[in-house]
Amino acid sequence: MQMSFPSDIEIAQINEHDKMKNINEIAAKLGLTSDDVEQYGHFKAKIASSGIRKAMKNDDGKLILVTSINPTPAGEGKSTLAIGLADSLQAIGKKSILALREPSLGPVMGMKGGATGGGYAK
Amino acid sequence: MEDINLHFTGDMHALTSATNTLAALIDNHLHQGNQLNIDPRRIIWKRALDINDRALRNITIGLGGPANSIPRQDHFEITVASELMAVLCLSQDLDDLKERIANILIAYTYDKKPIYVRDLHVEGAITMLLKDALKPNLVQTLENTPAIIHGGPFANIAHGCNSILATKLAMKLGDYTITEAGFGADLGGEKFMDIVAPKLDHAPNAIVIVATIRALKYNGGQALKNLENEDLNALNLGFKNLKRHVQNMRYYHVPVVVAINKFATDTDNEIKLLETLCDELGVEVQVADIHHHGSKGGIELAKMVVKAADKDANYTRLYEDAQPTIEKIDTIASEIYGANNVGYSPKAQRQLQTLKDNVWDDLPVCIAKTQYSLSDDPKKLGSPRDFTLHVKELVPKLGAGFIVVLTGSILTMPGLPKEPAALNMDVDNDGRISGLF
Repeated sequence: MQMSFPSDIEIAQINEHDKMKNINEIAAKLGLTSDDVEQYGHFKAKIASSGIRKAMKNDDGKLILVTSINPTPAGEGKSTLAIGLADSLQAIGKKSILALREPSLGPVMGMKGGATGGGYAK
Repeated sequence: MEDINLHFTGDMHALTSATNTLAALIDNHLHQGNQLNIDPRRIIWKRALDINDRALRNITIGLGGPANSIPRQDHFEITVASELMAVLCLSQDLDDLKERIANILIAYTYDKKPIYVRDLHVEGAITMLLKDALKPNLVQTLENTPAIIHGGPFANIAHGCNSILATKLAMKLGDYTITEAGFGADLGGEKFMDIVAPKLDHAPNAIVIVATIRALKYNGGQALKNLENEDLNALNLGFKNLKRHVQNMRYYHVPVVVAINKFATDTDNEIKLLETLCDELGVEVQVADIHHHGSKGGIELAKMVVKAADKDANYTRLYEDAQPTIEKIDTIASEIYGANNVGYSPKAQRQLQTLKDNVWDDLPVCIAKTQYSLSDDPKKLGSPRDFTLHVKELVPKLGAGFIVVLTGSILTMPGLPKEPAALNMDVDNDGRISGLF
């Protein structure tokens, strides 16, 4: 069914270097300066205490909770959908942002469900 | 972003180190004379590794004579099931983190009195190890949407959401924050609404329930290998699972939307049937083809979610913390899971008494249950009713501030399957990896 498609990791690798922006640019979209983040390489950063303090003065935006039916071996794609929904909201001009979990290495080595989305949504 | 799946910014390693440092400090206390009178048979703090390693579920440590600590039975759990992970995800700042760590229950004395981290005076050291792990991580999607990825407790054995700090921060930085609760709405969804939302001080403005036609047909009895074939009967039967989750989320009085994550094998007849069934249930539904089309496949869903989030919500919790533990468990078991009875093992009955005796009865409950069924039996698919929920153990997580209720045969250290994904993984001489999903 997905045979004509590159695998998830291939999509990530093909697109990563062309499309990824320096994390400072992403932070800037959110109103954070380079002093508000601590960079881990080009594409990752931790938000520093100063950034957190600055942000907490803002009002709350809307919160959307993505959940699902009971998981099955057939797959539900909850993370894929959450990521896609945030991208789609951005595409219709909304300032969207994701809040997601860090995946555990245990299931990564074991079974699918890496919690970082699939296909072109990741 | 393949390294999100690997070592990322080291948060998991920091949590593993902190968990095991605390374990080493407890064993050292025993070795150095045990001033606190800790009963080595009643140490509840477990060691942790972020690996599925069933061989470490029950181990013996301290062998080798008097120079090598006090022999005792110990246990490993996976880092994402550790209390420090839960604590990290519920803390507002470093002071809050330190206070929660100080409150963690680690053992009982020979007279069955509780011992906390603060009795060992090491909350400062453990907090120090987590100083950077508490800072949320910023990354981006392939379409450059900002993503804060932080903390990852399992939703079956813990509360199953990213950190409160990450969600709060996201809400302050964006107009629409999309967050995810692990596994089904019976686990992650319930816990988000009853444990996390009160601490966030902001309930969701809308809930999106994700389903696939394939998964619904599987719930309706279609075999895994046949899921690519149209089967309206199986879809009709399996819809009952979705229906229950929609009804469950409606208890919280927040607008609910169903999102169908489209697969190439879904037929028009199947999509039409699912839309009709959702209409009959009175829930809005939208098909999204995000896997193949990225954001373009989710435009209609995005519009529907914006509308839903503008509606009035009147968030109501399922239970109040002040209710006795047994009532809180009963409420979730009957209202969310569909059980008509809750059975307690002799051990769980004794623990209920311990909760009362120590006045730990006013905390929310975090039920650990199989993710595959609404019941505690992973084989009961679809919409099971009138079963008994078997409670085998109650574990007070006083730093996190909830009581973990272990049901069925759930484990806090998973194992690997017969053919682990590791078999397909590799890295070439340029550092390019393959086989990681």
